Amino acid sequence: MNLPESSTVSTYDGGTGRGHVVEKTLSDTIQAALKGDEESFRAIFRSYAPKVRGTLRQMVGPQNLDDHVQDVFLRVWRGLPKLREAQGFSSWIYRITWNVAMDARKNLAREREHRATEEPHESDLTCRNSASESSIAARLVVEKALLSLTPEHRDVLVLSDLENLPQEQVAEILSIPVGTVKSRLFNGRANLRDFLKQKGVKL
Amino acid sequence: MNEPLDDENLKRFLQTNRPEVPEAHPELEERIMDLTVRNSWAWRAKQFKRQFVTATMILVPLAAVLLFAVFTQPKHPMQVQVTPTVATMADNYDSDEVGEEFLEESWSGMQTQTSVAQLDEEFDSL
Repeated sequence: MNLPESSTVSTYDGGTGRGHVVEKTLSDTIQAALKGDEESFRAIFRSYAPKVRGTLRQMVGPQNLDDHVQDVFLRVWRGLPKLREAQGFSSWIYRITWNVAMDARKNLAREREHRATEEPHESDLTCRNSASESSIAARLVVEKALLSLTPEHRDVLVLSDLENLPQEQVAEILSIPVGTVKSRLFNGRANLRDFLKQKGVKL
Repeated sequence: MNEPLDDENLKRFLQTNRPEVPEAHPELEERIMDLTVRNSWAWRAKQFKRQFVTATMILVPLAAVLLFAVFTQPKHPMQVQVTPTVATMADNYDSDEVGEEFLEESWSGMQTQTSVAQLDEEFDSL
């Protein structure tokens, strides 16, 4: 999520009958959403949903992804009145996403005995695009590699290397020191390299 | 081993081959809107205000047109005030009263103007 808080958010102003895109700052959009403006909250959803969805996918897998995304935005809606300022909104949503991922893992852990929920299914990788078999195989390997990591290493790796967040922001989201982020990132990458090497993947 | 380069290569590999994200259910967005903003009092108040304004914009002109039609409607023929003609007035007058008034006026006129003797002279001259 790299949407700066000072940037504008496009909302469709259809309510007044004018029907044109209105450029608003994120702060104004949040305020309008709190006052019951549906288009403003919809704009927030559309801006952040892809990243939320991608992050959840990397952290907990594809199962119940829609429910997890819904859970994130329900928590976002409930937490909006308590949000002090628009600055830090991205980190805040990432934090909520991570919390939902943690809860999902706890639920998955309870079901782990009778269900291989953390094993990627071939059907989940059925591409709706025209990706080649090698691409599918590479994605499968990456998914298995991520699942081979501990949750702590995986979270840091997903946020830092897949979501391209700076380490300071990762530390803020996970409520851990920057040093811990660095060490987990180092160890996570090392484990990932070992796994890929075992699978015969050359970087 | 050049770690920064290895890290960059690893990062590039992960981003290129990140696990595919399944598409969202087509109704997910609307479902989230239902559970969030459309479930708020602020949204309901906004909707009420919008509907109230719309209803007012339709009903007020309609009421104005109806009131105008009611008050400018032509009256029943029996209620029409028509300037009566002499004939009508004569018809409307009570004939006995008219006769008496006429006789009184005539008689009073005759009394002041002529006596019986004068009437005899006028008759003889004829």
